[in-house]
Amino acid sequence: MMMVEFLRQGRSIVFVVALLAALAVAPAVLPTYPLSVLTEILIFTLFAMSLNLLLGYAGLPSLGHSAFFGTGGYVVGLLAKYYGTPAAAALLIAVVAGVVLALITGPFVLRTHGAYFLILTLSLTQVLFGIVWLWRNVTGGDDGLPGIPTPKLPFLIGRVSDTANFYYLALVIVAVAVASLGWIVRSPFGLALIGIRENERYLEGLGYPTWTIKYAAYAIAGAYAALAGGLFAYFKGFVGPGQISWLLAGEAMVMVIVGGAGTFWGPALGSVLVLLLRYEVSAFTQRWVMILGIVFILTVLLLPEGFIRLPKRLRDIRSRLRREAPTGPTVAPVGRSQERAVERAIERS
Amino acid sequence: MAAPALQLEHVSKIIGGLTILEDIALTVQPGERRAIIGPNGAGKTTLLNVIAGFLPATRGRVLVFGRDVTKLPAHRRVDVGLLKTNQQPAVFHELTTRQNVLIALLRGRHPLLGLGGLIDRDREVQREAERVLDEWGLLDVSDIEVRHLPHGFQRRVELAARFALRPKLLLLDEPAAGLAVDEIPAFIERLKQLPRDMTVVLVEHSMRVVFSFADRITVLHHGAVLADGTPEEIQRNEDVQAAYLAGAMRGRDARSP
Ligand SMILES: Nc1ncnc2c1ncn2[C@@H]1O[C@H](COP(=O)(O)OP(=O)(O)O)[C@@H](O)[C@H]1O
Ligand SMILES: [Mg+2]
Repeated sequence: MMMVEFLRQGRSIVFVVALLAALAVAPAVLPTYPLSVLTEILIFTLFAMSLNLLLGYAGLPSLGHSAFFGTGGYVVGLLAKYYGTPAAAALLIAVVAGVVLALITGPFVLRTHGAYFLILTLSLTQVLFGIVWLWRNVTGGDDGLPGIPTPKLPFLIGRVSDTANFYYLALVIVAVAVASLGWIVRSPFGLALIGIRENERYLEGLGYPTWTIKYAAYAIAGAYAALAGGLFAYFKGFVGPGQISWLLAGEAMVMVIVGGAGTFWGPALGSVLVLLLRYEVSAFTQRWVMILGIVFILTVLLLPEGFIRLPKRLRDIRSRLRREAPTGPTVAPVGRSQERAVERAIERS
Repeated sequence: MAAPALQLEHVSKIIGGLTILEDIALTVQPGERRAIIGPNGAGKTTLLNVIAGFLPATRGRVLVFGRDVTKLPAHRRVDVGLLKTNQQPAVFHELTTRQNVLIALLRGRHPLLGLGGLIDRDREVQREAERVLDEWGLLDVSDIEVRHLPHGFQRRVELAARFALRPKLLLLDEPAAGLAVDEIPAFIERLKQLPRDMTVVLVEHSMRVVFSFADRITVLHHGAVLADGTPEEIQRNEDVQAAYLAGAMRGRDARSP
C-alpha cells in the first residue's frame, strides 16, 4: 500500500522533472517559430487548467472564461499604453482585476447550475465584449491596443534570442502557477470541489459551506485566467476583442474536454493537441474550426475521459475483449482486481 | 433538566399549495432512540429534511439542543452536531471509499476552506481514515470508486463517514432499505452499539429494526403525528393498527425469517 503510493508519487516527480528539463532546453533545439508555438501552448495550458478547476473539478461548465482572460489582457494593455507600468506590476494588477471581476459576477452566475450556468457565463463574456467594442477611445474598439512592449528577463538579454527570452519568462510564471494549482487540487479544498461536482447537497450535509467554496473556486479560476490573458497580451504585443470573445472560452473548453476534464494534466495535453492541430491543419486548409469540431465530437464519443486516459482506455478495451462476460451499457467497467476485492470484502463481512 | 436533543414546534411544510407536514410537534430527549414510522408518502423524508435544513419549514421552529436552528442553512446545523443519512446512500460515486471517509474527516480541519493543507501530508487524518475503514470492514475496498460497490457497501460507506464525525444528533432515513435480509441483524447490532451520548432519530420500514432499537416511536400519517409512545403503546394503539401497523407488520413478518 505505502509502497504503491511511494512509487506513484515517485513516478509523478520523475515526470515533472523530465518535463521541466525538456522545456528548459527547448530553446536550444527549437527554431523561432516552433518556440513561439510552444510559448502559446504554455499560456493556454495555464488558461485551460484554470477553467478545469471549474469545469472539471467543480463541475461548473463556464463558457465565459475568456472574460477573465480578456480582462487580464486589457489590464496589461491599458497599463502599458497609458502608464508604462512594468510587467511584474501589470500582471499582478491583472490578477487582482480577475479576482474582482469574479467576486462581482459570482453572486449572479453561481445561483445557477449546468446549462444555465453556461448561458450566464456566456452572457457575461458578451457584455464585456460589448464594452470593449463600444468604448473605442479607451480600448481601441475592434482595433484593440497594439504595441504592447514585450517584457524580457534582464539577465538573459544578449544571451538568448528575444523569442527565447519571453519563452523563459512565460515558462517560469506558468510553472509556478501550475505548481500552485497542483497544491490546490491536492488540498482538502480540491477534494471538496469534486464533492460539489458529485453532489453538492451531500457535501453540504457533511457541513461544508458549498456556496462559499464555489465562490472561492470561481475567484481563483478567474485569477489564473487573468494571469494567462496578461501573458498572452505581452506575447502578442496586442490585445483586442478576440481575446475576450466567447469563441476563445469555447476553445479552452475544448482543450479541457479533449485533454481530460477533472484530471490534472489533461488540459495541458488538450492545449498541446488543439494548438498543434490548429497550426498544422491551418497550413493546408482554412477549415480548421470544422476539423477541431470533428475531433471534439469524436473525443467525446470515443474517449469521454479525454486523451489523457487513452492508455487506460486501450487497456480496458483489450481486457474486455479477452473476457467473454458481456457487460451492459449501464454497468460501469470494473477491473478484475476490483471485483476480487469486493468479493473478498463481502465474504469477510 | 437538559434541553431536548430535538424539539419541533408547530412545524408545517407546504410545497406548491400542498400541505406535506401539518403542525408537527416532536420532542426527543438526549440519548433517546426515536423511530418515526408511517406509510409511504406520510412525509417522513420531508420531515428529516426540514430538521436537517435541506428544506425550509413553512411555519414553526426547529430546536437542536435548545438552539433555534430554523433559519440556519444545512451546513451550519452540522456545527450543532446534527448529521443525516439519505434514503439513497449519500456517497460520492466517483470518489473512492477512502476519499469518501476523508472528505468527511477533513471538514474544517485546515484553514482557508481547506486550501491551507495537503491531504497526503495530514498524517493524522490518514491514520484516522484507516482506522474508520478498518472498523467498518472497508479496507479491502478502500481504493475502489464507490460506484462499483454493491448497495449494502455504499450504505456502509455513508454510515462510516457520518459516524466518524461523532454527531450528537443522528438522523437516519431508511438505513436498512436495500440491505439484504441477512445483513439486517448485523446492522441492528451496529445501531445498538452506538454510544448513548448520541441521540438517534430513525425513519424505517423494517419493523424488526424499529422494535428492537427504538425507545419511543412516532407514527406519521398524512403529514401529521398520529401517535407517539413506547413500542408497546404503539403496538396496542388502535388508530395505528387501523391506519398502518397491522398491514405493515403482516407484510414484514411474511418476509422475515
Ligand atoms: N418537492 C416536492 N413537491 C411536491 N410534493 C412533494 C415533494 N416532496 C415530497 N412531496 C410529497 O410529499 C409527500 C411526503 O413525501 P416523503 O416525505 O418523501 O414521504 P415518506 O418519506 O414518508 O415516504 C408525498 O406525498 C410526496 O409526493
Ligand atoms: Mg421517505
